[in-house]
Amino acid sequence: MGVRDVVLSVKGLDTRFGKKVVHNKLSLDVIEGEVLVLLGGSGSGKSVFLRSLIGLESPQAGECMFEGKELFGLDELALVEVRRRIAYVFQGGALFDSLTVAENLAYPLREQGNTDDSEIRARIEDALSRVGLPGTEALFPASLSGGMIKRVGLARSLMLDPAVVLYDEPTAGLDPTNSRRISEIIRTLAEAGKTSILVTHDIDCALRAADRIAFLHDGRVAEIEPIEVIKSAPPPLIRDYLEGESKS
Amino acid sequence: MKIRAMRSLRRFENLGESVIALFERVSDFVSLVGATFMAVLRGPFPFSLCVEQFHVLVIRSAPLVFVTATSTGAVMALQFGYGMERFGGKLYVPTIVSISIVRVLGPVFTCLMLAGRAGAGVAAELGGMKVSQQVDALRALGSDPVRKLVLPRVVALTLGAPLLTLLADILGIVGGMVVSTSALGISSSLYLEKAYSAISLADICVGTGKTVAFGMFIGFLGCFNGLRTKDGTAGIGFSTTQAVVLGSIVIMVGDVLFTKLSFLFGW
Repeated sequence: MGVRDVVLSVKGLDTRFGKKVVHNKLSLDVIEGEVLVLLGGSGSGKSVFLRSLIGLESPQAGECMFEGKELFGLDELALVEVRRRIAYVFQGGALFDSLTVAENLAYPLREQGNTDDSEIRARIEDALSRVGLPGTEALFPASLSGGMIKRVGLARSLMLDPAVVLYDEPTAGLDPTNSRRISEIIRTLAEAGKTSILVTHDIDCALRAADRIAFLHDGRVAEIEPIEVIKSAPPPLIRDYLEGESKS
Repeated sequence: MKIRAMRSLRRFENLGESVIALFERVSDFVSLVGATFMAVLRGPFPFSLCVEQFHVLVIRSAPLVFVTATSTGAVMALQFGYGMERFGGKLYVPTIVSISIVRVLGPVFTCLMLAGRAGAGVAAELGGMKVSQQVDALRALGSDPVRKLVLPRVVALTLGAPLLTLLADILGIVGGMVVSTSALGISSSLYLEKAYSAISLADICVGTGKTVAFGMFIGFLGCFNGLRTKDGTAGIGFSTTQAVVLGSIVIMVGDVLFTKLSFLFGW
């Protein structure tokens, strides 16, 4: 990876739920075009961190710069523009039950005021072929498998051509084949220039997709290293985590 | 002694926490109501979603409401008919049935049925969307959940409750007429004449007017409880129950208040 700009910079993030401290002065820079994987134990605040970036959680303190704009504290109206540039792939896909696959994919486009049916149809076909699900337009989410739901969720998040994609446990509950397929899609998107932040407990997926791996501990980024370092000489916390996960 | 003091203190602390939680709940509810009115003012108005919800929540509730209304009118006619026959007061049945149906029973039973069917349905649907992250997905895709989910349901129920009430009033009176003619020997023309002369426009306005407020509350309570759902599928059951219970309480207590007000102002 050559020298690239920081696309998203978080500084001094503090998040608390009641008395529980989730983030404690967490700071992290995300480099343009990279896949940054966040690892950490359950409850270490990985998903909350992702949710904070698009305003689904409101942190108590901190700042987050993205494309020259401070994200924390924006109102819902201002966040609409941010959410067009930063997409979120939900753990369970979060497809709308009452809509078909095609309608789910068309939803973000229609919300942005795009009413050109032929263009929407073309973009749906393109998005579905990118995630390996052509011909599923007419199906409802209830008739899709877990892996297909996740891939449609991923396709929907790409409809607005975002600069950054946030993945929350994209391979959780999937068989190894589907998990590998999702990791490959993430990698392909990164090669096409999309910046990605990936929260996962799936070590195979992390090692396959990551450019860098950060480890969250005690509410902050305790360790962060490029994938080459992780593979050759991982720092202590990440090493313990990887060993623990592979044993389990 | 020390342990007892600690227990009392703990109970006091629990009470304080419950009061704070109640205030937070009320404040969140008021915020949702405020956000919904702001969504109307900000526009654009989600007209097609309102029509869709009117179909789902109001038109599909109509059979239940109509059966309830017809049965209520019929049972009232039977009860009063047999009871008053002994005192020669059978001819008062049309007046009693029509006034009771139009002023109280029609509106209250219609709204209770709506709270049970539509209010519960709204809470369960939005609760399901909340736990499956579909509400978060709406926000992440640049939509306002209040405009997309809350506003159409509240509008549908606010408009639907008085319309269903008017139809329920008619069917309740007809139910009473069927029983009066078949079991009490009152002719249908006499029944209708007595019922017509007993009901004033004010009765209809007072009866249906309050259902605008009841319908709005059913909608808001269903949405509010649905959107607050947590703890997975168990939470959906809890939210649904809350929506129905709170909706029913609002209707019953609200009816007492409206009745008192209507007599106070001579309506």
